[in-house]
Amino acid sequence: MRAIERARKILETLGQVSSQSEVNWLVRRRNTLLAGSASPVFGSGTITSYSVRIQRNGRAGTAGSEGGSHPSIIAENAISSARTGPDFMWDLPSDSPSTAHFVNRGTLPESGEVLSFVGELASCADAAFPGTLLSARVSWGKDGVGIINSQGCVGEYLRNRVRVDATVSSATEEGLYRRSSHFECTCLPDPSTALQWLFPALSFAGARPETVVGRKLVLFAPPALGVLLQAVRTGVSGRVLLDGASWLAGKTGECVLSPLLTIREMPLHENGASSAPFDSEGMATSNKALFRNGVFKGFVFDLASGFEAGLPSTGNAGKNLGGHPMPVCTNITVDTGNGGSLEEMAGRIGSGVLVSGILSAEGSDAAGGGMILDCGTAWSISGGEVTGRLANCLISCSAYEILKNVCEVGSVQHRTGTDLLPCVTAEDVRIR
Amino acid sequence: MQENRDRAERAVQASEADFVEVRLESISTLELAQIGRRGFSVGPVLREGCTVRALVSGRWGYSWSSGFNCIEALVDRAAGAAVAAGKGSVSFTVGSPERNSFVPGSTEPFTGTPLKDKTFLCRHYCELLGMTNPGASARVDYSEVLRDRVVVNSAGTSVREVEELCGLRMQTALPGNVTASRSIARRGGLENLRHREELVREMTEDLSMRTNSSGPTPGDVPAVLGPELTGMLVHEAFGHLAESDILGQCPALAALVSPGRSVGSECLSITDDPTHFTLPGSCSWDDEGTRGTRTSLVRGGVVKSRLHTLSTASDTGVPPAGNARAWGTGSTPMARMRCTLLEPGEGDRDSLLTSMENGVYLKGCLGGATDMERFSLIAESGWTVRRGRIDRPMGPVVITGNVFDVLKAIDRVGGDIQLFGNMGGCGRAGESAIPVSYGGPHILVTAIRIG
Repeated sequence: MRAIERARKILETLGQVSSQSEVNWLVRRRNTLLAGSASPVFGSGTITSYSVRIQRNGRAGTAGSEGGSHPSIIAENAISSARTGPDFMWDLPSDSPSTAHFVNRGTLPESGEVLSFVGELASCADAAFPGTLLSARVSWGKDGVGIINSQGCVGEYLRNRVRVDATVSSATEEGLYRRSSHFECTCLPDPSTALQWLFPALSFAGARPETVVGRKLVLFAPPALGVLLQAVRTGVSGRVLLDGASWLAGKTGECVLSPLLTIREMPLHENGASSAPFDSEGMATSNKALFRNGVFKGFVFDLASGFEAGLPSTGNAGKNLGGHPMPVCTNITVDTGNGGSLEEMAGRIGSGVLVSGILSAEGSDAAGGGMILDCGTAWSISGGEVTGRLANCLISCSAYEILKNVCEVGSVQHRTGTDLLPCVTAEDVRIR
Repeated sequence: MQENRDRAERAVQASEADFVEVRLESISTLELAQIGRRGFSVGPVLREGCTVRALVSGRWGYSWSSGFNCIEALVDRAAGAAVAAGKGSVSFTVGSPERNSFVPGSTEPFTGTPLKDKTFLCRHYCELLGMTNPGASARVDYSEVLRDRVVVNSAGTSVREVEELCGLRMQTALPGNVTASRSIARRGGLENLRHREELVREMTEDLSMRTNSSGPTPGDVPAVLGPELTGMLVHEAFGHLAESDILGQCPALAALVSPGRSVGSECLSITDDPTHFTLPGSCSWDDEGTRGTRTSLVRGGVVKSRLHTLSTASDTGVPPAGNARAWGTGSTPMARMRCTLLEPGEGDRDSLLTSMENGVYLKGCLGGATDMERFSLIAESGWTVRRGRIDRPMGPVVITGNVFDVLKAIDRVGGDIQLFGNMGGCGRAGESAIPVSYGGPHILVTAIRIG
């Protein structure tokens, strides 16, 4: 039975107990390759899941199923959940979203191509720093995503997804160098590009240990910038705004970041791994600037948070299996500047630090941007050259403060996670 | 599940592959949250799926699917993937095949408890937090996981284990980002979550202390670490280094932690033990069907053993101890920790503080990470210590450093061991987090980097 047919059956069952209900489905078809020091291992599989939400006595109930739960069991679970669910006082959409404008480019690779890709990626890693060993897990396939609700809204689309998780390890004179990273997109890039996305500073692995403290000019490589942008992802959420926890409350229209920064949410990006023509509630998505030249343009909402705020949904509902929708961002991109490549940007720094990866980012004030970054992969720069590897580099900061102090933006975007980001240089960053 | 188990047994016996393993999983979850006066639930969610791997001519092939409809087809598909991969060199032996089931009993199983009782439990703690901390926000999250798992293989193993796991996370915050939290998770029923009012009292003390705290002065200092932080340090600083499949990808790393090598001071003895059956991560059998047994990883500062899957155990000629763990359909069993702990020595916190004289005292843990060479942990609370006495509060403190340096800097180990578990678990390499627990006694470290 096709997913949409099963979803219709579930919806019919829900219709017996609820005036408004919706069913989302996700069919994840994946091939995988594990490759490293041992023999390569191929696998394939399909996971089909259904999430439902019902309105019952003015409250929302949810349930989820991965596998073969009978529709009546899913309905029972949703009814049970509605007894303690949040308010549900608005109407689900009745219009079906258009998918005509949704272009998901990229060709999925064959197994042999993936095996070659990993081999070439390993060669590139060895060329960047001789003796480096690389292991990787690549998964690729299609997502079949859909929604149907009781008001007549129906939509479905297919999306390519390719995810590369890789780990490099090198024995250097200064000790072991081992790092892991990943990215997601819609097709395999060429291996040298992929290595730059994953490990932009691998060639410096043999640098001698140094210690740097004080306020510095810091060059953040895309994986590190991606961690800083977590605060932005949280802060622009309409739900966080309503909970009174967003640093951006009351700042719409204000220049709160560096004028060099334009940050966008791009659900319709042709090569975005999180691209989608409609959100988890069936509302049409759109590409939008979250910050244009540093100016905050506004929060993102789902139906529930929009209803509470007296505003329409911005098409940003996302949810986990069986969960309630929340306002979320899909692919985040930062517009390029004229700073050139990472090497060119580093070459203009007289004295500073390059942060190419974050070991951990802890912050009890994520929405406010406050965090402590333990920079697992950081380097000292002197006279435009990387001169040392920082053994312990802690940055205690507000992510917004760092983004406000950005003084240069690179001209090459890298994929990191599902985002597309350049390098940025920020002034006056306090290294502890 | 029994009917599907029978089908899986027939399917693996019918296969012509050199080795076939079928893992059937049914995982049902429920989450409740009480945020101030507002409560809501997520789920229930039921996940059912089948994961198969087959070994043919020295190469593995995998297949998986949600639901249990196509076990037989998945066996064929996994064997096909292995054949397509060509010839390889993978070989291993399965010890004595196990045929057994373990369905634990609990005093108050959550499966039979009405939703309103669980909601009431959350509301009770949330109201208590609100009453004892006027002006502070309060949030209590409840999670439950019921995992029914069958592992069947062509060597004759057929085991089934039901894991009942539930937990609470309590959080409170005053304006100005002064926060406190506690987490608890146990295998078993709701009886483990009742009468935990002492957690609210501890959080109230934390809030009061943090309101008057100033941040730490960064630098390398002597420190006494509390039991939870000790456990997390052992987990991050050595536990991941003992995972054999990671070491197989990195010979340089494997050489640093090879059996017989000294990695720490003589008072350092680390064990991974799945037999603490009230804690997350405990198991009768792992996800390859191997019985879970206690593993001594480090004894007197010297590496004794590693964590193994069937494959890595065969490669190194040691018996597997049940560390191959996977979570969810399509995931691959990897060598992972279960309950990792630092064995106790003698003495208590105060004797260690007296011994240290000046430095810091750190306790509680908000999270941790490692890249194998370095670790990073967040201590929930910290104080300066002057002349052996706790002095000025510092609030949350980051501790970081080289894993081998810190293991060598452990100077004294107390006797007051405690074990901990929460619903967060341990993630690795893009896989889902798996339940683990950890612990130890108070320890004295001669120098550790704080920030």
